[in-house]
Amino acid sequence: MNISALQTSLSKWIMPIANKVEQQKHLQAIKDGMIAVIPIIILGSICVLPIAIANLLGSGAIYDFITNHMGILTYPDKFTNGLLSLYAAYFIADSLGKRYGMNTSQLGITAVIIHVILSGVILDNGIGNQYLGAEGLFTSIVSAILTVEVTRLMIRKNMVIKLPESVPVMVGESFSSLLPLIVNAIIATIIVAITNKLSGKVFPEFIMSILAPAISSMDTLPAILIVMFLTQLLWFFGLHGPAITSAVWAPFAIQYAADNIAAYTAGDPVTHFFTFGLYYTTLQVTGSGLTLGLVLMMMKSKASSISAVGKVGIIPSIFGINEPIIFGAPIILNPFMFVPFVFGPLIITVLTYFAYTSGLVGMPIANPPSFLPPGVGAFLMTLDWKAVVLVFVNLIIMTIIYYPFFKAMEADELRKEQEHQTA
Amino acid sequence: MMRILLVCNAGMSSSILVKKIKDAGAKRGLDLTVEARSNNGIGAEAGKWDVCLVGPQIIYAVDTIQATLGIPVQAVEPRTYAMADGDKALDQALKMAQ
Repeated sequence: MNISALQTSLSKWIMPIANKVEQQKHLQAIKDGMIAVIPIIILGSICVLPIAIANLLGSGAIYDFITNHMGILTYPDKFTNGLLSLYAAYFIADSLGKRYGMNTSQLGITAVIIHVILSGVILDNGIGNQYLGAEGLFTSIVSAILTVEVTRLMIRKNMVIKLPESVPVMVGESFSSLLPLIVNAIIATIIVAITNKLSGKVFPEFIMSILAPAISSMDTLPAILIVMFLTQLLWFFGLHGPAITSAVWAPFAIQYAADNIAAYTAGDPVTHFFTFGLYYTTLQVTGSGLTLGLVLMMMKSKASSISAVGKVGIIPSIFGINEPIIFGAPIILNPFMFVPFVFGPLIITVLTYFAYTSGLVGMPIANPPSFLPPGVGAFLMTLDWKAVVLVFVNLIIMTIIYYPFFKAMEADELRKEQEHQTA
Repeated sequence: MMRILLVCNAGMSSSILVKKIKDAGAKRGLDLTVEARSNNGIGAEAGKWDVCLVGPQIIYAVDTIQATLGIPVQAVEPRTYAMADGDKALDQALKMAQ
């Protein structure tokens, strides 16, 4: 089979899959909801900074000040990261409801109530929140989907209180959401009672014990390599790789990030490598395929069409946006770019994995904002200068990998431009 | 007045095109509203726009977006998108609105 026939048949395969993933309402709602809590995780990350600074200093006046005021300096952390799963339950239910065309804020709030029933622990003097943080994120998926599906089923079966149309919308809405709220709460209470009776565990513990193998397997080198390969392959065919693949991996990577922050705050070992921040700051820095070096080479190219794209693409590239390069070079369906673009990032992944897991580079203890220039995000994520060095090592290695393929592409383009002129 | 919505995955890469389309519209004396949004929050945009241009990288989402918004939705041609060619993108939007 020649290259173009292979491309056509692969395109025929990939497009419907991408379409299916996009239309899978649960997957998309989980992804939306998880991504929606990232600002809260970033806020939690800021609260971790004083701890990290104290650990870096080890002694002195600032160290003393921080350790003496640790409680107040990290105060918001308990209510951001410490209650993260509550917010996730709200956002997932809200997104799923909207995808079903149920435009009511009540769904999100019902999901929060259901989530607290499922995850809260009754103590002598109140409610324990030990399962409402990062470790409760997967339970919030269950709470949100349960809430929306039960409510949707009840609406479909007309099991809601309907008032005459003359009643104001707000009043009507609060009544129509009453029965679903009651039924959801009853179901959640029954689930709590049954899990407790059968397994002796609280519900979040039960969920985590079922999901534990899946959760830990996403943080392994083979799984990350598969993610990277599929992401690059999709991009090669012109489709937004991470937008499609992240429906599967983002919930894990975001949970890992939140888990790392919680562990670091508690003084426990930080264990997760594949965090959401790591993906954007290091594995795909300056855009999918780590294209910064390629852009710089394109800018200096003698082929005018190539240098024009390079000049348009350089500023967005610095902020991690490389669509101009992917569509302009173009990288999509370009035989010259297939090998470096699809396989180069796999080499970077292996290198980064061992740099982090060997202890050479400090683990991700925070989650930085996206779209930062190369190195900035990696530093905020680890507070380790070696993480910044690694980013630039990765970019240099990728430039070397792109170089021979870029030269071949450029020679081809120059030949075409010359033919065009003589013709 | 014409309202053009641009959509991509995070609303970032399509935002590059926003200003270029506005400039192209100003040159032709057209009254345009142009904004970029993330595909994630697209549900909130129903009823606010006349046409929707989608980044070619999420061409697979055109059907879903069309179903949500109920207006003409098309992917921008890749080269136009790469070079942020406001004139060509505006031509496409005007054609879709006809």
